[in-house]
Amino acid sequence: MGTPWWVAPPLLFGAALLQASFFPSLGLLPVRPDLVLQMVVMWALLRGWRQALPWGFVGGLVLDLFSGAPFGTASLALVLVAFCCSIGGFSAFRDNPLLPVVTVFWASVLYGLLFMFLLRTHEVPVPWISMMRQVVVPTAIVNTLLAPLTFWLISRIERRTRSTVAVDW
Amino acid sequence: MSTPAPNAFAWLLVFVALSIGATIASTRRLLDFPRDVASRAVAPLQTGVSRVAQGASEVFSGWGEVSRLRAENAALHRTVEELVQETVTLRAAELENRELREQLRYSQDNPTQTLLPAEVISFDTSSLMGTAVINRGSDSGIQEGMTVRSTAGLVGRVATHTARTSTVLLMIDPSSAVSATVQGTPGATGTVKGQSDGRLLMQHIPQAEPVKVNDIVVTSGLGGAFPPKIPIGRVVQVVTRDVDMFQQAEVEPFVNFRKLSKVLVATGFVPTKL
Repeated sequence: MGTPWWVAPPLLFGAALLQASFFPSLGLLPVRPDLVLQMVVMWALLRGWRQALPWGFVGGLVLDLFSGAPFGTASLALVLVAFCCSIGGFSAFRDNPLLPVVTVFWASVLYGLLFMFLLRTHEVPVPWISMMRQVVVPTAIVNTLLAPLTFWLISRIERRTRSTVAVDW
Repeated sequence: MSTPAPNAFAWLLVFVALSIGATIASTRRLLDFPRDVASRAVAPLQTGVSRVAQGASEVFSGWGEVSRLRAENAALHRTVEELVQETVTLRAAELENRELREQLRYSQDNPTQTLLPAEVISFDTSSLMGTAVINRGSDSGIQEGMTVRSTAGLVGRVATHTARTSTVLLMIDPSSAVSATVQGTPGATGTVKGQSDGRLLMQHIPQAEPVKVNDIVVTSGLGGAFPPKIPIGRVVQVVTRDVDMFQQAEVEPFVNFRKLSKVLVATGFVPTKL
């Protein structure tokens, strides 16, 4: 079972727009929640690697569009995270609502580490320890707190598109 | 846990290759045109969303600030009385200053006076990067490296730009470094570097130079990347150790980067490319 190809880009674009323009301008949180990452992780858990990979790639490209980091950094990191999350997800996920929340935390940490590593390969200075302490872990916590809400939204979309004719990889 | 099919790894490699290809294409500037088109399309959306969020932010902050504002109002009344006295003195100094500035052709020597107003329309999608996007690009005369400031002080410099938008590397990004000096202590020069927690650290200040808490840090102009005398922040802590050649100071920026919405680009200042 698949999802029409056009579902992912507008959803991920909207999430990236909120992530880049809405949340920072609100100024309520010291770190920005990674909505795109959360959506990709949830989708990877629900639909497996076949859809996780294109979602991760498209989500990453959208993030790259809004980011000052070298283009392709977010897409590469998100493709790898999506793949890791999709391994063994699907069936276990439906019986255990805590799994997506826990997965979002670890996926956020993994994404942060990959992102920093890729920045370093572009010779961008990365203070690893302070970045981990002050950015990666706080962002992972914020993402985890928001995960139930994202899960609710994504699972609704997933249910609505489940019976649609497949356009899979 | 199920093991992914072998072709899963093949597809993973395909997407990894696509991502790396995007990076290479971007490095070779092959994506400049599509990114430019995309930024033209997206910029109005970003502006709209950002303005809605700023409006919402003002409402939220207004609720919590009523009692604080009352106390502040009383304190401000007292301050106003003191300032009225001070203003009288300053008016006389201002007249004298204006006259002297004209004599020195201040505007010619200080090109940062050519300032282009811009609006922050989005911030980086990742908290790991300290960048912001403004709604002005090369169509407005913006070039890479130009200094971006606000009325409070230095914000950063233009890292990249499209025709309609520019990405600003904020001073608080860990990869940012600004040559600075402590106001009133010309020998106390150093480099202000961004920290991942949003604060600034001034490094490589000679041990012999006296630096105190509450000292004002400004750009030094050394290196030619930024014009001199743009306020950066206030010293909140000085770390001096006898065993070190240099001392360092923690600096609180004047600009509130979490509430940054309006900036000015110094289009009159062309940075030196070293």
